[in-house]
Amino acid sequence: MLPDTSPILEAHDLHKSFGTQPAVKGVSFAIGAGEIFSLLGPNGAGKTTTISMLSCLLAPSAGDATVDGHSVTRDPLGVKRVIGVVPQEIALYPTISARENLVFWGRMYGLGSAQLQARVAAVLDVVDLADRAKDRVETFSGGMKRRLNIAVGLLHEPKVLFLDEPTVGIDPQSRRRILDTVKELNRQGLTVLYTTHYMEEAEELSHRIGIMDQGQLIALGTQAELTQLVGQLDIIHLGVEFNGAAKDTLATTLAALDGVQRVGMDDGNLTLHVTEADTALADIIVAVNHAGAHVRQLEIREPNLEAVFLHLTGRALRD
Amino acid sequence: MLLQTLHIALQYLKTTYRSRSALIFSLIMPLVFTGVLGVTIGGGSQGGEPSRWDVALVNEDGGVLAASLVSTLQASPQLAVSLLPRSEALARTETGDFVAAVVIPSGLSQALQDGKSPTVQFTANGSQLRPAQSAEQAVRAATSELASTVAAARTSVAVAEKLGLFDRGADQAAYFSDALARVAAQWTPARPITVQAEPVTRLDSADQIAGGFEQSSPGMLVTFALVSILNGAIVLIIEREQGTLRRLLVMPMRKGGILAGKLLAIFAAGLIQAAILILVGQLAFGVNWGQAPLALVLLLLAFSFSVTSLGMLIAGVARTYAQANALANILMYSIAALGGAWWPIEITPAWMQRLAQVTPTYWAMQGFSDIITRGLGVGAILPELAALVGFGVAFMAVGVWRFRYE
Amino acid sequence: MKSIYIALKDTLIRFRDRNGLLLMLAAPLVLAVICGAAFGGLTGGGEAASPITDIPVAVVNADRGEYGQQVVDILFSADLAKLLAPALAADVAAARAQVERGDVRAAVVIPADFSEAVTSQGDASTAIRVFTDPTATYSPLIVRSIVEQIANGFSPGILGGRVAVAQLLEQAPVLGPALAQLPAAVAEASGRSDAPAGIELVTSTVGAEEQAGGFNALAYFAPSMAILFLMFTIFEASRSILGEEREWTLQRMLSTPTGFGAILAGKIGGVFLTGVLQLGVLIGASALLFGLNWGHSLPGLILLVIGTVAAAASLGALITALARDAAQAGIIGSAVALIFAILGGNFLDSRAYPAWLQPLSKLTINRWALDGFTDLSMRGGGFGDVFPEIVVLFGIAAVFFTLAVWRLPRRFVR
Repeated sequence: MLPDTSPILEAHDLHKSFGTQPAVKGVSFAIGAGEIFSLLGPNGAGKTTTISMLSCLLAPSAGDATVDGHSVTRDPLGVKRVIGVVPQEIALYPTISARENLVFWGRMYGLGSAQLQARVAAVLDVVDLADRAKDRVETFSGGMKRRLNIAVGLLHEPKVLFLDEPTVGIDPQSRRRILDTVKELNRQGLTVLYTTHYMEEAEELSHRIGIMDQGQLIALGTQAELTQLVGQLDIIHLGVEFNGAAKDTLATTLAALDGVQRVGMDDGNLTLHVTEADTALADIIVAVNHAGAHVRQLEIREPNLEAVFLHLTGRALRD
Repeated sequence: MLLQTLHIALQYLKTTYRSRSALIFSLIMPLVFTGVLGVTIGGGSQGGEPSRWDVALVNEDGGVLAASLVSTLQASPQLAVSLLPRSEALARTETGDFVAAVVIPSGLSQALQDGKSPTVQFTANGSQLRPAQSAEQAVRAATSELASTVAAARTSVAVAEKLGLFDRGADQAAYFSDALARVAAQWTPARPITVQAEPVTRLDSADQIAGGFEQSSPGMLVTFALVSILNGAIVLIIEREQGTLRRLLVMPMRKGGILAGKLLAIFAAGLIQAAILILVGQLAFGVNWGQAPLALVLLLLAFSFSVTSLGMLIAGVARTYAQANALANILMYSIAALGGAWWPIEITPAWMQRLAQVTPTYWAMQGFSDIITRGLGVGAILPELAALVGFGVAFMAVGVWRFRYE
Repeated sequence: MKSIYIALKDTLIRFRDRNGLLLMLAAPLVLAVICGAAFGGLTGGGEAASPITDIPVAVVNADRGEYGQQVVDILFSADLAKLLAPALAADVAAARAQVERGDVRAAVVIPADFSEAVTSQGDASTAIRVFTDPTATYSPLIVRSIVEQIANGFSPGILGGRVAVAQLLEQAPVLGPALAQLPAAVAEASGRSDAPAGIELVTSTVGAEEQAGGFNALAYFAPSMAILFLMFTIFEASRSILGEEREWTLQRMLSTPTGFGAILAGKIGGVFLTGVLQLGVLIGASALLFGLNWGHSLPGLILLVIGTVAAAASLGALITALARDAAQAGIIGSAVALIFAILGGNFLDSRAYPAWLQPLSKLTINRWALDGFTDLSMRGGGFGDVFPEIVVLFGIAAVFFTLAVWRLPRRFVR
């Protein structure tokens, strides 16, 4: 589903170290114009550091990136003119009104007075906050703040929008609204770089997904391409109560069963990749019970991005 | 219950005194303030020495009477006199080097001898009104002494005249000079009416007269204990806003126990601050704090209680932290100043002295003066204790009644 | 251009904060009134500042004679009515107790032999005793001096009599039989003379505004408290750049096509603008509410405001540059503001400080600003009077500003 256009954003072997601590270790990817591209990975994978380098907040230790032909190292001002950045934090002033915030940020993007009023009205419409424009931001709910946070990034009609975990800590309804807004913006032609640690969001939104872990891009492609990495496997999720049973022993036992390809364990949550769920399930449950544990919950799924992550890293994607 | 209350209190004290800023605000800052205010209020005097005011003296008269006025002024125990030319004296008085300039005009001696009333100019520095007022009275004492000397000599002349001495060819001018010299000679050793001033105190004579530190040491104790306690009390509202108060509320103890724990800690922090400043006053500035330990302890407890209650009152009426912070800051400065913690209350107008009585700081300062400077004990500070406890009970009742836990 | 918007935004945020305004504007006015009232003179154009008045004094007259009563009469006379509030006490013990309790500032005890000493032709002498309150600084000295003046008033008669006797006895050969009239003449000339040839003390005041006719404490404390709370405001506002970094709005600004220099200029500009507005409002309010006169030179006043705020804002920027984090910047800011205030004379007149403290006092922005403002508000000075302070303040601003812009960007490099 890669849109058939030339890339608008290219990252070439980006590195970033803080002191001796490497945070990003050689990340390269390209985003086509009109695409939604997600960086998926657990917290601490290097997503925010990568997006910070792309938005010229951090200078790369090595490597470079271009946005719309401007280099982040040689022409940061050119980059900043074409990108809209929505940070993970609610980067707004709580004690002034939504409109006052937008007017201020519009000025920072260099909008002139005539343009400014029209753009403020437009983005308020996009995020559906026109009726609360005069209220102080501190009186907003979490979801409304998140939406206003996005509106700021749209003021200067950027070519590329960077959204860094824009749905953290809000209720499902507000999340739905934000995802719909992103899709609508994309439909109107906006290129989006989206970071998240929620697999479902990446699956729903993205044309292509880059999976990050420990500062590296470990896989990149459309959702279909990525799930093929796992192969024609079934995924079995088990919620287990151990009641003092030895976890490591159970994992080893399970991995040795016929048809079981991989075993991931995250506290009481077990994820198994099996060639055929129907045949393996019985053995698995017997093995769990034999170990003295109980199955609380059971789920069989088609391969998804989480399975991909588990496949590639041997760890679960959850927080 | 009691243990949990104590635990909450200890937790607060630990976090308060672990930070390095505690050192700055509870030790270094009061030290500087006590020192600067002390030397300024004391007019440069050391403890046990009466205050001497710096006065510029201009003598434009060459006569013997003017010279005698100069020496009388120089001998005054209340003045430190510098002889200067007129322009310099006035200029330096204006800039505040001297509290006042005294100008003896030319012709003073002659006018006095002629039985006229000459004038001496006393020019005060407007921003040092109280010292100037004291200095003025001291100068008046000196001029009245000279005037009296001349009057005494003239009395002798009058008697001589009555007896017809000058009709018999005696030289009146020579007689007058002789009379003057004799009066002056008698004046100093055998002044017929002397004035003996002595402070009324139960302290040993060495510590009799209050220097500036006897004012600034308790004054800064009151101020900084107030700051410590009120800042502590508004932490209650921070905790309410952050939700940590709610977390405590779900624990198995009564609401009152939690509040009591917090208040106990704030109260104790105030006492610790007071104790630090008593040590500072005693060791660094030689203030006689150890006069009546029991009275001192009672007064400290009553004062800390009243201010803790004031903090509770603020926490009770303020809706947000920002509001409590503004309220506490304005209140702490205002009542410290009104109550006489920053300057001797005697200098303020009578109506302000009456107004001061509605502040706990006033009663605390009165009590500290009774103990430190007057050398009195528990019996003397009973009214102060009653006032402080009264304030405390009233503030606490309203504060607890109004306080919302969430 | 963008710097101006940043400065305006910061100013808007600060003036939108109602509780902040209480501290910025209400607190200094309230304290100026309290301090002003304490040191006398609440109005700008009113009566000269009230000095100490109505000193409570207990008076004990143990003398049964005419002269002891004269002393009492003088103490209760209309001349001293403003200064003293005397009351008779039964005996010495009662008077002492009143002093000890602090009910009166002093007790004056006229001895039993007072009249006898006044009329005595011999060498009799006596003492009026003044018991003073050790907790008071000024009033006991004033009472003592007044009693000395009264005592001096009795002396000419006594001393004159004694000297006349001595002198005229030496003149016996000349006087001959006339000498017999001596005792009668002495008795007539003695007694308390009403000081026919006294020395008049003409008092005046310098160093206070001329129109007001005396020291106006409010003219000192209005600028004083304005400066103190200006420092609080400025240090608080200065560290807001660290707060913006924490809240990520600084990073967001950096993600817009806005240079770091412009952001820095905007942040410092906002602090400056806030400070100028605060001082401006306080100056205007004290002029309107209390009729305070801010001098004869508007350019001088404006430059002084700008210089003061610039110096404080530069120091604020420097503290922000050197502090580890926002919390530490807050602590250092409060500490510096308070230390500067006490040294600079914001709580007590710095001109009354001892000489050794003066150089320290003059190290503070507060002192220079206060000297300048009081030149205008107390002495009615013109531009020439405040020019030196303006130069010094701009100098301080230049030094701190240079250090701050050298150090500040380093904080944010990564």
